[in-house]
Amino acid sequence: MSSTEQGTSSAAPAEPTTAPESAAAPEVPESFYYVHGKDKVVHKVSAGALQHSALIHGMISNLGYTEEQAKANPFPFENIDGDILQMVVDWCNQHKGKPTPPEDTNLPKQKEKLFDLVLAVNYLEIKELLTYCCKQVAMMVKGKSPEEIREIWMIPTDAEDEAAEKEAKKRAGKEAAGETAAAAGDAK
Amino acid sequence: MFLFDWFCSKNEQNEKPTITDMPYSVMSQILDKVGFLGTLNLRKTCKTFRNFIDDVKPINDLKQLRITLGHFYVQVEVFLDKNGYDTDKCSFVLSYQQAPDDNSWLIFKLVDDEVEFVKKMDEGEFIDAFFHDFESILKNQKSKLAYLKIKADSFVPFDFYREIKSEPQSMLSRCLCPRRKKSEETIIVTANEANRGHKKSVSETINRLETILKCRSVPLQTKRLLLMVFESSQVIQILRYVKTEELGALQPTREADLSEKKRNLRFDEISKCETYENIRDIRVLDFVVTNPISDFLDKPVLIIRRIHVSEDDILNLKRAFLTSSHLKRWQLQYEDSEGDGSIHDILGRMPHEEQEKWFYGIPNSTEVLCIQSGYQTVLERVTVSFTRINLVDVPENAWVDWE
Repeated sequence: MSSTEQGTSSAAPAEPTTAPESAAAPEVPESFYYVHGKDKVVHKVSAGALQHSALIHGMISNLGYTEEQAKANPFPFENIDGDILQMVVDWCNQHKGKPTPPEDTNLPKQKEKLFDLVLAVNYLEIKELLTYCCKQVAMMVKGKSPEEIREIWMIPTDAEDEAAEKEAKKRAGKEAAGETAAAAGDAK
Repeated sequence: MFLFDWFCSKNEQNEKPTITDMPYSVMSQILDKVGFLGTLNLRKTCKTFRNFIDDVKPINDLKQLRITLGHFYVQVEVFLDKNGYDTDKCSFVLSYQQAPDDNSWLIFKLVDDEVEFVKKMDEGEFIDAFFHDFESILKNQKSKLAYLKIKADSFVPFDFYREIKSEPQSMLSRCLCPRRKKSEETIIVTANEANRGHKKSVSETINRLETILKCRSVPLQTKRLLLMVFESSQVIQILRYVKTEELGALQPTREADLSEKKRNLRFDEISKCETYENIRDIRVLDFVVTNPISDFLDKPVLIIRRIHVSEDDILNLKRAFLTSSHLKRWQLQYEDSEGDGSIHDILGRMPHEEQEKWFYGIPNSTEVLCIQSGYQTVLERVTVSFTRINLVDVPENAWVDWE
């Protein structure tokens, strides 16, 4: 598990606490990178753990950062909540260099958290974790009636959906009209 | 962050994401794990989900569909993967049937031999109810099935039937209303009359099934396909749009008065179809297959009925089996119009063998060709089988020809 510390900004991250030591010291020193989410808390993660994320792995593969450079340039993921990023980092650390098991029972049960996690994992392109998450989401509706599914997944009825769609179109129309008026005002 | 908007109205007010905020690719992955029954229920939640499911066609754990087209009812046995999503509901039966009152229909569900009443409707017909439920399944099923059976049920060919007027014929409704009023009006119809109406409705149902399967962009896939239909053309109607490895075709009852057109089955029309080329195993027992034997030499397993098998057919097949290792087991069934002697004249007599078998050694192989002749008394047909067997399975005292 990686430890974290509250940072002040992405440009000048706070000094993170040391990363967990593996039981046996590796022969070649492992490189570490730094990531932070919406809450700016910086997480120190090994390159090995980050290999799970195709997005980050692609970003770091040709960087050749030194420890100082990596520390000074943490990867900002402003669209991911801090606690969700923590979950992702923990999962990557736990499964570093290990074959992934067929099941993962440690995923959040709370649906909002799970949906947040799914979006984050999809964005970071962590294939195995996304598979577990999708399975967990699917299991939420197992054996449920259409009405129950609608409630669990908060699916609007056709009528609600149509009303929301109309509202969204109306709002978009108003915004466009506002923008046109503002542009005309600027031109004058 | 979002790859594709699949849902019309996105969640904008709530900060927390909901299922409608999932990107297209993620939602597809989720649907792949929802399972067959879950997907059916999801389709009923709203229009957008229904359209999305029909567009994505998620993989599911549906393994077998056994559809029985009965007189005044359709019964569908559904089998799911035992290791799949719905392990507690691996199989169930749905029965759609005409109610005693002709203007309504009923749906029953059977799980573990327990009948559960599902629905009664006063409009439409039971067959429409069946298609309402299964059209989307047949149209959108992407995962390969293990078995698809479409069986037209038939009456036992008694001479006459005594029917209660407007009484449904299914076993289910008989169980549900076992007491018959003494004053109830009964009518007597001949077997032919009773079957005529049924055959017409089967024909219409097969046409509708064909139309549904035709709409698919790729053929429905199954390992085994069994068709029990009244006419040979109905085999082609379905087979054209179903990709299968094994095909079985039968008739509900053997009918002596079946016209040649309805009895003869010729694969010419579809022989270039992908669905036909994929078949490795053909078993057509009641229809007479009229293609030349050479048309089937790419099929490892074949059991077909012919009017006549010539000496050339037998010798050519013997040669093909000796030279082609992909041929495994063939059986030709034919009417013995040429008399008892023909197969023996071709292959030589084996007077001391009760079960007549000829063994031919295959050079550079551990296999041996076994040709066996027999007579099926019930069917009144001669059978000739060609089978490649292991040399070790040849009986000790049998004579193997290493010509």
